Amino acid sequence: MSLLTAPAGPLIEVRDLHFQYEDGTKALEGVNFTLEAGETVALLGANGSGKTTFVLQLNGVLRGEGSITVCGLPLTKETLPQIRSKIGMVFQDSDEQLFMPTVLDDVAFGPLNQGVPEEVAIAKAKLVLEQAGLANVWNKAPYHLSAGEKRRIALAGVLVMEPEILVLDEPTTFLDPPAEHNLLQLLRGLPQGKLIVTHNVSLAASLATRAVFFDKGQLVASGSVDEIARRFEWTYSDLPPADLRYSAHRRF
Amino acid sequence: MHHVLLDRWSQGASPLHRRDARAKILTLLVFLVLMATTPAQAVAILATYSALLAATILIAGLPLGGVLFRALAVLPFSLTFALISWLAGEPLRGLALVEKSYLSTVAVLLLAGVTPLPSLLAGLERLGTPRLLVLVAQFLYRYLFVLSEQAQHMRLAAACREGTGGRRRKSRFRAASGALAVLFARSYGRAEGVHRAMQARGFSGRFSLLGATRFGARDAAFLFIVSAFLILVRVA
Repeated sequence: MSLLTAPAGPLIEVRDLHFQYEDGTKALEGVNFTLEAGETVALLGANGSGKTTFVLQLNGVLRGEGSITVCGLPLTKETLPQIRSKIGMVFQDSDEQLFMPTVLDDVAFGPLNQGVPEEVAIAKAKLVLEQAGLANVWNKAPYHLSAGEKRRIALAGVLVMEPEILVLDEPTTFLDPPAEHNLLQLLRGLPQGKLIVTHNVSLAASLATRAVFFDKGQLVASGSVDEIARRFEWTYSDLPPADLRYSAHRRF
Repeated sequence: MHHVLLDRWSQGASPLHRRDARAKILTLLVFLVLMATTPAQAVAILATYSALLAATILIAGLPLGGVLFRALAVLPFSLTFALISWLAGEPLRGLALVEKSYLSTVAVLLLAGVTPLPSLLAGLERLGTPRLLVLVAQFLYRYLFVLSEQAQHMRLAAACREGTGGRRRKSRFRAASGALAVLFARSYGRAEGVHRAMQARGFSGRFSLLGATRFGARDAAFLFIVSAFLILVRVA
């Protein structure tokens, strides 16, 4: 993987972003956000608060009103291919991300779309799989793998494109503690700026340098993970305090 | 999670497994054409083809009984047409129809049992099969397992809450019909999710399947020798 060179300005700059789904649901209202180089920002908030909708705007999968700039490039139809190669997005459900018949096909999918020759794409894919500790599964079908392996392959499929920004949507969902531990170690070693969508305060605290809080489509606060968790503790006020330290999932 | 048996068979290492998918596909095509054009009364030819298929299954290291049993799946269809032929006063034609369809199914199963599906799809694409068909087959193959796993989970969840006796049958029926609707809705939602994931990695409408093998001299020899033998049996 090549060493990343940080651009002069912020990695992501979002100004006054609004988005409404076709059924009329307002998902984002006047969101302003900046991600600086080297930062890892946790996006916290309840289900349906707009976190995932927000990150899907960043690479143009969903298009709202407002301005988005990624690594100095304004998000337009023309810059979309460049922006998509700069933002690597790891989705919550790995099965949705691993759609190719074999692991190697899947990891090579992004480079091939970038116009990389097949031999080079295969070599890059094998290298990234090796770095992710998955060299032995390259010719397997994704459904043969464990949830942890699938998540790492989904990440490998993104890292092989050498993105400058990583967006991870609930990266530890469905993972057992050892798999979660391995993934977190892998993520900590990556130099990219990161956006992590999560409900899990302890995950945010272990990875993020900053947190922002979404509520009803608005970005209502930004600060350290501790500050944000303490400030919005009321969100989980129906829980005994001890449970708050772990995750909002415990509401159930 | 249960995996398709064919998938396990296709991971073998026999000489047949090592052949390029294109050689195997073309050989199968020759076999199917010869089978279709074999006269109904040519019992010796059909018997030779049957013996050849059985020997190939054994060389490939596949379970003979397992392949023959699974090929029975075609019988309900071919028997229906055979019955029509029999009622029309052509019992021999009906019998040949059953034999030929059964042997053809065995041959197709053999191909699928010695060729991993990704290689098979790559082979079909390189032989000129429309890309759209290859893509549909690829996605079907990939998400069949995901959907079947979801269906199994729903079946388990329903079984955990179903009643007893007559109510049990009724609740099973209701659960099955509900599960079908939910599976459809989930498939739709998943398709959207997959499309988003593809877009996020720069998909612009063109797919590339990585090549599994190269078509070498051994593959050419396999295609030529087996096809020549099959034709020889047919015309001798």
